[in-house]
Amino acid sequence: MIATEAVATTALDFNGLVREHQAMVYSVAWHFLRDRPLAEEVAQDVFFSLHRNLRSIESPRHATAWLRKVAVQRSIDAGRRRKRLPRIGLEEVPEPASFDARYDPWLGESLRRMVASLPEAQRMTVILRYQEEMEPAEIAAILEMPLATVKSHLHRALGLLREKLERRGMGER
Amino acid sequence: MDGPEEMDWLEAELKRALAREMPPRDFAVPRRRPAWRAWAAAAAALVVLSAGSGIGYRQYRGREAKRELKLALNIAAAKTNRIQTQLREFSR
Repeated sequence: MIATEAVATTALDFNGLVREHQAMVYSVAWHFLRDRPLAEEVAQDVFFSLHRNLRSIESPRHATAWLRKVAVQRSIDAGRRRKRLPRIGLEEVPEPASFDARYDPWLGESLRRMVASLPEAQRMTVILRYQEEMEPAEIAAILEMPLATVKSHLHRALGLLREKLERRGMGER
Repeated sequence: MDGPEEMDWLEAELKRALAREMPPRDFAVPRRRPAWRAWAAAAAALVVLSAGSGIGYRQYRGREAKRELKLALNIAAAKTNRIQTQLREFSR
C-alpha cells in the first residue's frame, strides 16, 4: 500500500494532472461564470498555481481535492471582480458531448442559464453537487461553511429553479 | 420542494445540464502567442513612444518660443530706452 502510494506520488507529472482535471477545472469556472474566455483564464490560472505548488502535492487524490478547491476559489474571485453581468452569446451554447434521446438541449441550456443567475453561494453549491456529484458534507468542507448552510442553499436553489421552470411551462415531464 | 419525485426529476436534469465539458483548448499544451498579437503589441508600443516623444517635442518648442519672446521684449525695451535717452538729450 505504501509502495503503491510512493509510486503514485513520484508519478505525478504536471501534464498528466492537467489532462486529467482540465474538464473539471474549466467546467467549474464555466458553469459559475458563464463566460468562456474568463473561464479559460481562470483554468489557466489554476494550472499555473498547480505548477508552482507541485512539490506540495502529495498524491493524485490530494491533487484532485487541491485543484477543485482552487478552481472554486478562483471562480468566485473572478465573479466578484467582474462587475458586468454575464453576456451569453450564441457561440457559448455548448456542443453536446454525445447524443441522448431523452435529453432536451433547450431545457439543459435554460437550466444552465438559471443556475448562472442564482446567488453566488447557491450557484457554487449547485455546481459542486450536480457537476462534481459531491456530498453536502464535502461541499461544506470545500466552501468552508456549516453543513446546515449548504443544505439550505441547495434547498433554496432547487426551489427557485423549479419555480422558474414552472413559470416557463418547463416543469416536470 | 413538493415531493421526492419532483426533486429527483430536477436533480437528474441538473446533472445532465451541468455535466463536465472539455475546454476549447488543451491546457497541457503551452499556447504560443499568435504572431499578429506580437505585431500589435509592437505597434502599440511604437504609437505610445511616438506620442510621448511628440509631447516632449511640443514642450521643447514651447520653451524655445517663450525664450525667443523674452529676448525680443528685452531688445525692444533696450531700443525704447535708447530712443527715450536720445529724445531727452535733444530736448535739453
